Parts: sequence; C-alpha cells; structure tokens
Amino acid sequence: MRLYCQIMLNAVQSGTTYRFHTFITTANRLVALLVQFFLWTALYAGASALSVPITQVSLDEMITYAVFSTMISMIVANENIETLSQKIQTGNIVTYLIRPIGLFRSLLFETLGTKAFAALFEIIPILVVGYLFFSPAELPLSHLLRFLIALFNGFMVYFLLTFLVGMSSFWYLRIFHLSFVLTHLINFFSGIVIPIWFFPKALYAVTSWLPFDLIYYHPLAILLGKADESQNLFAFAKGAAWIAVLAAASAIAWMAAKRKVVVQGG
Amino acid sequence: MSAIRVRNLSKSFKRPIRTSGLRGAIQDLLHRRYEEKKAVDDLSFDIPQGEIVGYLGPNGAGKSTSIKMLVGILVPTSGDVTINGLVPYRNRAATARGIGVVFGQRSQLWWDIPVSETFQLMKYMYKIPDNRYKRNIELFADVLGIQEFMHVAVRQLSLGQRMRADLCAALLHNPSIVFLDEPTIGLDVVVKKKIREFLLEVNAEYKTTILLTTHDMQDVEKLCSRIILINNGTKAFDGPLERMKTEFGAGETLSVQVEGAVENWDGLRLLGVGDYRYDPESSTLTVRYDKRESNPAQLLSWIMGRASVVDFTVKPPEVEDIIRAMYTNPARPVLQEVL
Repeated sequence: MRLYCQIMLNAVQSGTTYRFHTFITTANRLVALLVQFFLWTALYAGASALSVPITQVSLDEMITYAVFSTMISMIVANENIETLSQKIQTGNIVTYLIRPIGLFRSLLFETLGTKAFAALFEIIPILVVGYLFFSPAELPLSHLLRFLIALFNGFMVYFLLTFLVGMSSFWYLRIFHLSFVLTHLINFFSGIVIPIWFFPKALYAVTSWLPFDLIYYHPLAILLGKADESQNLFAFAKGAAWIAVLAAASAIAWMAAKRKVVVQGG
Repeated sequence: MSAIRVRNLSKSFKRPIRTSGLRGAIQDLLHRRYEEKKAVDDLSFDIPQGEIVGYLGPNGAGKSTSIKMLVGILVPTSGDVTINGLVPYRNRAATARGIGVVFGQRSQLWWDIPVSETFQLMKYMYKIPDNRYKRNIELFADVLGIQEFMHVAVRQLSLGQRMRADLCAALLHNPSIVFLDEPTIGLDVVVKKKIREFLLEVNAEYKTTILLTTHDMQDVEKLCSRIILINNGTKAFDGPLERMKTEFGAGETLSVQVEGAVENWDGLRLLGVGDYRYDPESSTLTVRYDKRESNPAQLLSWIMGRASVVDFTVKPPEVEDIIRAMYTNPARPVLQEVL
C-alpha cells in the first residue's frame, strides 16, 4: 500500500512542476463553463418567449448540470491514451515492463495522484466560481454517497476504456483516430454536452445499455435528484457489469499485447 | 544452478517489405507483405552467480533483443530462458524482483521530480527494509557521487548524472542479477570510471551477476572476466577475455625508427608479414604481423641487418582491434573453429 501512496505522491509532485499549465487549464475550464452558462440561459430565454416547455428541467438545474459536468470531466479525465501510445511508439514502455508491478496499477495510481492534485488546484476553483457567479440549484446532501459511488463507476469505466484504446497502440502504433472515435462516442452518449433526458426515446433506449452515460449523466442525475431508486440500482448494476467486462477485456488485451510487444527504437 | 540459463533461444520479427516509389507505397497500403527477420537465432549459454560477462556484438547483432527476452519484456519465438530458476516472460513480476535492469538510452527515473523520490518509490516497489535501504543509499551515493544532485529534478540532470542515478535506482534492492544495456553510452571518462568502480564494488560485495553490453573496450577490459560475442543473432565466441586475446588477438605491431634512407622493405613478405608501412618523415617503419606466422625477434634482426635501428617498440593487441576484426570478418576460419 505504501507503494501506491508513493506513486500518488510522486504524481502530485509532478503536477506542482507545471504551474503555468495548471493555471491555464483552470482558466480554460472556466471559459468553457461560461460558454455553457450563456448557451443554456439563451436557450431557456428563447423557449419561454415561445412558451414551449422544452423540458421539466429548470434553468437553475441546467446550470448546475453544466458546473458539475465540468467538475466530473476533471475527475474522470486521464492521459492513458497519450501516455501509452507515446511510450509504445518510442519504446519507453520497457521501463514499465521491467518493474514488478503491472502497467495497469502503475497508471491507475499515477492518475489518482494527478486527480488529488487537480482536486486542490483545479476542481475547487471551478466550484467556487460556479457558486459565486452562476448560482446553481441547492443540492440535497443526502445523495452524496450515491453520487460518490456513481462517480467512482464513471471514473473506472472511463479509465478502462482509455486503457484499452491506449493499449491498441501495441498493434497499430498510431491510434489518434481510435482516440477520436472514443471521444466522440463519449461526448455524444455520456450526456456531457446534451443531457440524456433530451434524447428521443429510441436513442435513449440504446444509451441505457451502453457504458457511456455512467461517466457523466448518471452521477449528475443523482446530484440533481432526477434519478429514482430503481434507476440508481439499475445504473449501479450496469456499472459493475461494464467494469467487469472492460477489466476482463483489458486483461486479455494485456496478455495478447505481451506476446505482441515489439520494442521500438532498439 | 546457473543464474542465467539460455537454451536454443530464438526470436524472429515480422517486418513489412516496403516497395519504393509512389506506386509501391500505394501497393503496400493495400496489400502488405512481410518478411521474417531472425534477430536471435539458436542462442545457448549459462552464466553462474557472481560472474561479470561482457555481451558484445556489432549494432543490430541481437544483443538488445536477447536481453529483452532475458528480462521478460519479449516472448521468445522458441527456446528457453531461466533467470534464477524462473521463466521470465511467464513470471515477469517475480523475475523482476530479483533482477536490476538499466537501458542506457532510456531512463526509468520519474522525470519531473527529484531523484530521491524515485529512490523512495523503489524502496516500496521492491519492499526494501529500512536499514538496508539506508545502507545502500549511503554506499551507492558515495561511490557514484550522487549526493550532490539527490534533490534535483531528473529533467535538470546531465546525462552522466542521470545515468548514475538510474544505476543506483536499479540496484537499490540488491538484485542478484543485473542487466546493463550500454550503461556507459555517451558518458565522459570520469563518469565511466565511477560507474566501473561502482559495478566492481557491487559485484565484490554482493556476488552480483552482471551482464553488460557495451561498445567501450575499456569497460570490457576493466570489468569483464568473460566475453560472449554475438553476431547476426548467433554466438560467435564464448570464453574468458584472456582466451579471446590469445586466440584472436595474435596481431602485434612493431614500430622501428631507423637511420639511413632505405626504401625497399619488401623482403618482409618472405618473413610472413603482409602489412607494413614506412613513413619517411619520422623514418619509422610500422610492421603489423600475426604472431603465429612471424617471429618478432626474427623481424627485428632482419631490419637491423638492413638499417641502423635507433629505437623500437612492440605493441600487444588491443581488445578493440580484436573485436573490430571479429566484427568485420565474422566468418573467418578461426572463428569457425570455435563454433
């Protein structure tokens, strides 16, 4: 356990090296948040002028959705794909392969370390600004435990998906196209851009079996009190199932990759 | 039990055949053909505990590929490897605990943070007890001179500093076998010397088995008691350094400074010398000969009979010359004898 603490600690320390990067990243997220704020405000204003009820979701709730989806994106995001494909393309992957611990665990705890760093310097500023300027809806704290479980599921699903895509580098070397595909799938199906409750019925049915909504939509729905108990149970079961499937796929891919390893560059 | 046991080890890679030109490129994109390249071909050897072995060969001979199979990164196409009794690619983690690996061209140090943090990481990764960790850090830091940059971020280190830190990190857990792939590449003489002293000390103190590849003949002469030479993926020589010198290093150089203008030295041919050169400016005659075919005393007396000799020196073969000869002419008959 000390080992994993040390990996996280090292990742936190690495994070502190690039102050400028941290500052710009946070600023960037704030701008993105601002865009969403004005977009939804305008949409709602237009809708009320036409007196068309677009949904049962209030503007306040929509803004809360935007603030917290930004926050979740900071928690689940990782650099698996770039890290793996870069290490495989240059052959530096060997430095992971000579260690007595697995690649997956190394990356997982490195990522958790960067998240601990991000929590302090990126996530808290977003929440503070979000609350000061955009006045999102009051959140019932009773959902906190459920929210954290959903967030953990989302993090793991995202981590495993990116790990799998990153590992495909062992076969294809250049994988930015696969990375694009994954990004677009997530953007569309996860509810980060458009909440799933705006989806038409057929699309909604498809989405409910895919793993992507576990990443954004479900934690946010819990936070906003939009998910009832049965929906929660379904999502948790679905999360566990998808994590098991993706973890098995990763293990198989890793076994195959080890036979496939060709160290680039001597 | 040998520390390292290799039997009939082979590895081949599939490599796409590239056709030249635009037409070729399009053809390749649609229908890719592969050729099989044998990087390592039927390699066998044993290394007992505590030996320092120089693993030599020209670029592309298959040294790195075979080392990567020995440490469990690559899976052999055929043949067996056991490291401390374990099959490395099947028990990668267990094997990794007992070995230390340094790839001279790649660092396993954590790039953005001080060296000391990577050492801490190693401590937990290999479960090194406190007192041993402390003792090793003190000993290694002292011999390698790491103390002065212990708290500097790795990306700010010079190549020599980084390499020393990498070595230290790889050896902190007292591995019984150490694999070093060009540990002195690109380093200055002072750092090279430090690294050699360090390796000798570790070997003496812990009976560590060391397998190192290098292109630096000083490394070989100062460190290695045994040489394994590979070429085109197969073993070309395996034996003590001394034997390599006597068997393959028969070529000596005799330099004679003479007085008086003698231009014709062709008579040396009759004494079995094929390579000689007279430099009129320094009036020096340089004769390279094979000891099994020519007798230096005879050569010298023949020269003294033709000119008056001011000074002379006999230079024994350099390991570098021997290796160069073996690299450039790998299929020459003497080598075949050993095979």
